[in-house]
Amino acid sequence: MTTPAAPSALVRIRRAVDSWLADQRIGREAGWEIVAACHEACANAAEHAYPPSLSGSIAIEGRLENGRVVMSVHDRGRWRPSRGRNRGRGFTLMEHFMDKVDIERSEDGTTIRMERTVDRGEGA
Amino acid sequence: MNGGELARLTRVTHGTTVIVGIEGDVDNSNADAVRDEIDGSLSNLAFALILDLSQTRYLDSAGIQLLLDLGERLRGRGQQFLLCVPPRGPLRLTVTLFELQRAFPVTGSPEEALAQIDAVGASE
Repeated sequence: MTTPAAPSALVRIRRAVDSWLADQRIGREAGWEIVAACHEACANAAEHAYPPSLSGSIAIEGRLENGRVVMSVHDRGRWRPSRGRNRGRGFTLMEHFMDKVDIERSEDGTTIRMERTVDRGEGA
Repeated sequence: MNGGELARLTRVTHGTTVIVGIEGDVDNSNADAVRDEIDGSLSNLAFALILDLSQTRYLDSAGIQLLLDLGERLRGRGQQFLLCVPPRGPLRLTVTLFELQRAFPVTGSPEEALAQIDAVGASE
Protein backbone atom coordinates (compact mmCIF):
# COMPACT_ATOMS: atom_id res chain seq x y z
CA MET A 1 0.00 0.00 0.00
CA THR A 2 1.06 3.60 -0.49
CA THR A 3 -0.04 6.38 1.85
CA PRO A 4 0.78 10.01 2.50
CA ALA A 5 3.83 10.47 4.74
CA ALA A 6 1.81 12.01 7.54
CA PRO A 7 1.12 11.08 11.17
CA SER A 8 -2.61 11.04 10.40
CA ALA A 9 -2.02 8.07 8.03
CA LEU A 10 -0.42 5.89 10.69
CA VAL A 11 -3.61 4.44 12.10
CA ARG A 12 -4.71 3.35 8.63
CA ILE A 13 -1.33 1.70 8.10
CA ARG A 14 -1.63 -0.16 11.41
CA ARG A 15 -5.12 -1.41 10.57
CA ALA A 16 -4.05 -2.53 7.09
CA VAL A 17 -0.93 -4.37 8.30
CA ASP A 18 -2.91 -5.96 11.13
CA SER A 19 -5.56 -7.15 8.69
CA TRP A 20 -2.96 -8.58 6.31
CA LEU A 21 -1.21 -10.44 9.15
CA ALA A 22 -4.55 -11.88 10.31
CA ASP A 23 -5.17 -13.08 6.75
CA GLN A 24 -1.79 -14.84 6.90
CA ARG A 25 -2.90 -16.54 10.16
CA ILE A 26 -0.16 -14.91 12.20
CA GLY A 27 -0.77 -15.10 15.96
CA ARG A 28 -2.18 -12.01 17.67
CA GLU A 29 0.83 -11.34 19.89
CA ALA A 30 3.36 -11.63 17.08
CA GLY A 31 1.00 -9.65 14.86
CA TRP A 32 0.81 -6.79 17.36
CA GLU A 33 4.60 -6.64 17.53
CA ILE A 34 5.03 -6.67 13.76
CA VAL A 35 2.42 -3.92 13.44
CA ALA A 36 4.29 -1.91 16.07
CA ALA A 37 7.61 -2.29 14.24
CA CYS A 38 6.01 -1.29 10.95
CA HIS A 39 4.31 1.68 12.61
CA GLU A 40 7.61 2.97 14.00
CA ALA A 41 9.28 2.67 10.59
CA CYS A 42 6.43 4.62 9.00
CA ALA A 43 6.38 7.19 11.83
CA ASN A 44 10.08 7.82 11.27
CA ALA A 45 9.49 8.30 7.55
CA ALA A 46 6.54 10.62 8.22
CA GLU A 47 8.61 12.66 10.65
CA HIS A 48 12.05 12.76 9.05
CA ALA A 49 11.90 11.99 5.32
CA TYR A 50 10.34 15.06 3.75
CA PRO A 51 10.56 18.82 4.23
CA PRO A 52 7.41 20.41 5.65
CA SER A 53 6.65 22.01 2.29
CA LEU A 54 6.58 18.67 0.46
CA SER A 55 3.76 16.13 0.79
CA GLY A 56 5.64 12.87 0.28
CA SER A 57 4.49 9.29 0.38
CA ILE A 58 5.36 6.02 2.09
CA ALA A 59 5.11 2.62 0.40
CA ILE A 60 4.58 -0.41 2.66
CA GLU A 61 4.94 -3.94 1.42
CA GLY A 62 4.51 -7.23 3.29
CA ARG A 63 5.49 -10.71 2.16
CA LEU A 64 5.56 -14.14 3.69
CA GLU A 65 8.73 -16.02 2.71
CA ASN A 66 9.55 -19.48 4.07
CA GLY A 67 7.95 -18.89 7.45
CA ARG A 68 9.24 -15.36 7.74
CA VAL A 69 7.30 -12.11 7.56
CA VAL A 70 9.22 -9.55 5.54
CA MET A 71 8.03 -5.95 5.78
CA SER A 72 9.52 -3.08 3.85
CA VAL A 73 8.80 0.61 4.30
CA HIS A 74 10.06 2.89 1.58
CA ASP A 75 10.05 6.66 1.24
CA ARG A 76 11.52 8.88 -1.46
CA GLY A 77 12.86 11.53 0.87
CA ARG A 78 16.11 12.22 2.66
CA TRP A 79 16.05 11.71 6.39
CA ARG A 80 16.93 14.52 8.71
CA PRO A 81 18.89 13.30 11.75
CA SER A 82 16.42 12.74 14.58
CA ARG A 83 16.58 15.15 17.46
CA GLY A 84 14.97 15.46 20.83
CA ARG A 85 14.36 13.12 23.72
CA ASN A 86 12.38 10.58 21.73
CA ARG A 87 15.40 9.86 19.58
CA GLY A 88 16.03 6.19 18.95
CA ARG A 89 13.06 4.64 20.77
CA GLY A 90 11.33 3.77 17.50
CA PHE A 91 14.38 1.83 16.32
CA THR A 92 14.67 0.13 19.70
CA LEU A 93 11.11 -1.12 19.25
CA MET A 94 11.72 -2.25 15.67
CA GLU A 95 14.85 -4.16 16.64
CA HIS A 96 13.19 -5.70 19.68
CA PHE A 97 10.09 -6.89 17.84
CA MET A 98 11.78 -8.10 14.64
CA ASP A 99 14.65 -10.54 14.08
CA LYS A 100 16.41 -8.33 11.58
CA VAL A 101 16.16 -4.64 10.63
CA ASP A 102 18.11 -3.20 7.72
CA ILE A 103 18.13 0.42 6.58
CA GLU A 104 19.12 1.17 3.02
CA ARG A 105 19.64 4.76 1.99
CA SER A 106 20.06 5.73 -1.65
CA GLU A 107 19.37 8.59 -4.05
CA ASP A 108 15.93 7.04 -4.45
CA GLY A 109 15.09 7.41 -0.78
CA THR A 110 15.20 5.21 2.31
CA THR A 111 14.00 1.63 2.73
CA ILE A 112 13.61 -0.07 6.08
CA ARG A 113 13.44 -3.84 5.63
CA MET A 114 12.39 -5.95 8.60
CA GLU A 115 12.10 -9.71 8.98
CA ARG A 116 10.76 -12.03 11.63
CA THR A 117 10.14 -15.76 11.86
CA VAL A 118 6.49 -16.48 12.62
CA ASP A 119 4.27 -19.41 13.55
CA ARG A 120 1.13 -19.52 11.49
CA GLY A 121 -2.24 -20.59 12.77
CA GLU A 122 -1.87 -19.80 16.49
CA GLY A 123 -4.42 -17.38 17.84
CA ALA A 124 -5.76 -16.60 14.39
CA MET B 1 -12.87 13.54 27.28
CA ASN B 2 -11.50 12.88 23.82
CA GLY B 3 -7.77 12.53 22.99
CA GLY B 4 -8.18 13.20 19.32
CA GLU B 5 -10.18 10.78 17.20
CA LEU B 6 -8.12 7.76 18.18
CA ALA B 7 -8.45 7.80 21.93
CA ARG B 8 -11.14 8.44 24.49
CA LEU B 9 -10.14 9.48 27.97
CA THR B 10 -12.14 8.72 31.10
CA ARG B 11 -11.74 10.41 34.47
CA VAL B 12 -12.67 9.16 37.95
CA THR B 13 -11.68 10.66 41.29
CA HIS B 14 -10.94 8.82 44.54
CA GLY B 15 -10.48 11.46 47.21
CA THR B 16 -7.45 13.45 46.11
CA THR B 17 -6.41 10.89 43.51
CA VAL B 18 -7.46 11.21 39.87
CA ILE B 19 -7.67 8.09 37.71
CA VAL B 20 -7.49 8.77 33.98
CA GLY B 21 -8.09 5.87 31.61
CA ILE B 22 -7.15 5.85 27.93
CA GLU B 23 -9.33 3.81 25.60
CA GLY B 24 -7.98 3.39 22.08
CA ASP B 25 -4.66 4.30 20.51
CA VAL B 26 -1.91 6.74 21.47
CA ASP B 27 0.54 7.50 18.69
CA ASN B 28 2.45 10.49 17.44
CA SER B 29 -0.64 11.83 15.69
CA ASN B 30 -2.55 12.35 18.95
CA ALA B 31 0.03 12.20 21.77
CA ASP B 32 -0.01 16.00 22.19
CA ALA B 33 -3.82 16.07 22.38
CA VAL B 34 -3.82 13.25 24.93
CA ARG B 35 -1.17 15.03 27.01
CA ASP B 36 -3.19 18.26 26.98
CA GLU B 37 -6.33 16.45 28.11
CA ILE B 38 -4.51 14.66 30.91
CA ASP B 39 -3.04 17.99 32.04
CA GLY B 40 -6.51 19.53 31.95
CA SER B 41 -7.93 16.74 34.08
CA LEU B 42 -5.59 17.33 36.98
CA SER B 43 -6.04 20.21 39.40
CA ASN B 44 -3.38 21.51 41.75
CA LEU B 45 -5.35 19.97 44.61
CA ALA B 46 -4.89 16.42 43.33
CA PHE B 47 -2.39 14.40 45.31
CA ALA B 48 -1.82 11.74 42.66
CA LEU B 49 -2.61 10.74 39.10
CA ILE B 50 -3.16 7.12 38.14
CA LEU B 51 -3.01 6.60 34.39
CA ASP B 52 -4.84 3.41 33.48
CA LEU B 53 -3.80 1.79 30.19
CA SER B 54 -5.86 -1.38 30.63
CA GLN B 55 -8.14 -0.32 27.74
CA THR B 56 -5.34 1.12 25.59
CA ARG B 57 -5.01 -0.78 22.36
CA TYR B 58 -1.82 0.77 21.07
CA LEU B 59 1.00 2.93 22.43
CA ASP B 60 3.96 3.93 20.27
CA SER B 61 7.32 5.55 21.02
CA ALA B 62 5.66 8.99 21.15
CA GLY B 63 3.32 7.58 23.79
CA ILE B 64 6.30 6.33 25.80
CA GLN B 65 7.75 9.86 25.69
CA LEU B 66 4.41 11.25 26.84
CA LEU B 67 4.48 8.97 29.91
CA LEU B 68 8.05 9.90 30.81
CA ASP B 69 7.33 13.62 30.41
CA LEU B 70 4.17 13.32 32.49
CA GLY B 71 5.98 11.51 35.30
CA GLU B 72 8.75 14.10 35.36
CA ARG B 73 6.35 17.04 35.27
CA LEU B 74 4.20 15.71 38.09
CA ARG B 75 7.21 14.89 40.21
CA GLY B 76 8.34 18.50 39.76
CA ARG B 77 4.93 19.63 41.03
CA GLY B 78 5.04 17.33 44.03
CA GLN B 79 2.28 15.09 42.69
CA GLN B 80 2.52 11.32 42.46
CA PHE B 81 2.22 9.54 39.14
CA LEU B 82 1.42 5.85 38.86
CA LEU B 83 0.92 3.85 35.68
CA CYS B 84 -1.41 0.86 35.32
CA VAL B 85 -0.64 -1.67 32.60
CA PRO B 86 -2.08 -5.19 32.44
CA PRO B 87 0.53 -7.69 33.71
CA ARG B 88 0.47 -9.54 30.41
CA GLY B 89 0.36 -8.25 26.88
CA PRO B 90 2.26 -6.13 24.43
CA LEU B 91 1.96 -2.87 26.35
CA ARG B 92 3.59 -4.43 29.39
CA LEU B 93 6.40 -5.64 27.15
CA THR B 94 6.92 -2.11 25.81
CA VAL B 95 6.85 -0.58 29.29
CA THR B 96 9.39 -3.13 30.53
CA LEU B 97 11.63 -2.65 27.48
CA PHE B 98 12.04 1.04 28.28
CA GLU B 99 12.26 0.41 32.05
CA LEU B 100 9.47 2.85 32.86
CA GLN B 101 9.24 1.27 36.31
CA ARG B 102 12.50 3.06 37.11
CA ALA B 103 10.82 6.42 36.45
CA PHE B 104 7.53 5.84 38.32
CA PRO B 105 5.53 2.97 39.87
CA VAL B 106 3.97 0.60 37.35
CA THR B 107 1.07 -1.46 38.68
CA GLY B 108 -1.28 -4.02 37.20
CA SER B 109 -4.56 -2.31 38.06
CA PRO B 110 -5.98 0.95 39.44
CA GLU B 111 -6.85 -0.88 42.66
CA GLU B 112 -3.23 -1.89 43.11
CA ALA B 113 -2.14 1.70 42.42
CA LEU B 114 -4.61 3.08 44.96
CA ALA B 115 -3.33 0.61 47.54
CA GLN B 116 0.22 1.84 46.91
CA ILE B 117 -0.86 5.44 47.39
CA ASP B 118 -2.67 4.53 50.61
CA ALA B 119 0.41 2.68 51.87
CA VAL B 120 2.61 5.71 51.20
CA GLY B 121 0.09 8.02 52.87
CA ALA B 122 -0.14 5.76 55.94
CA SER B 123 3.62 5.67 56.37
CA GLU B 124 3.95 9.48 56.28
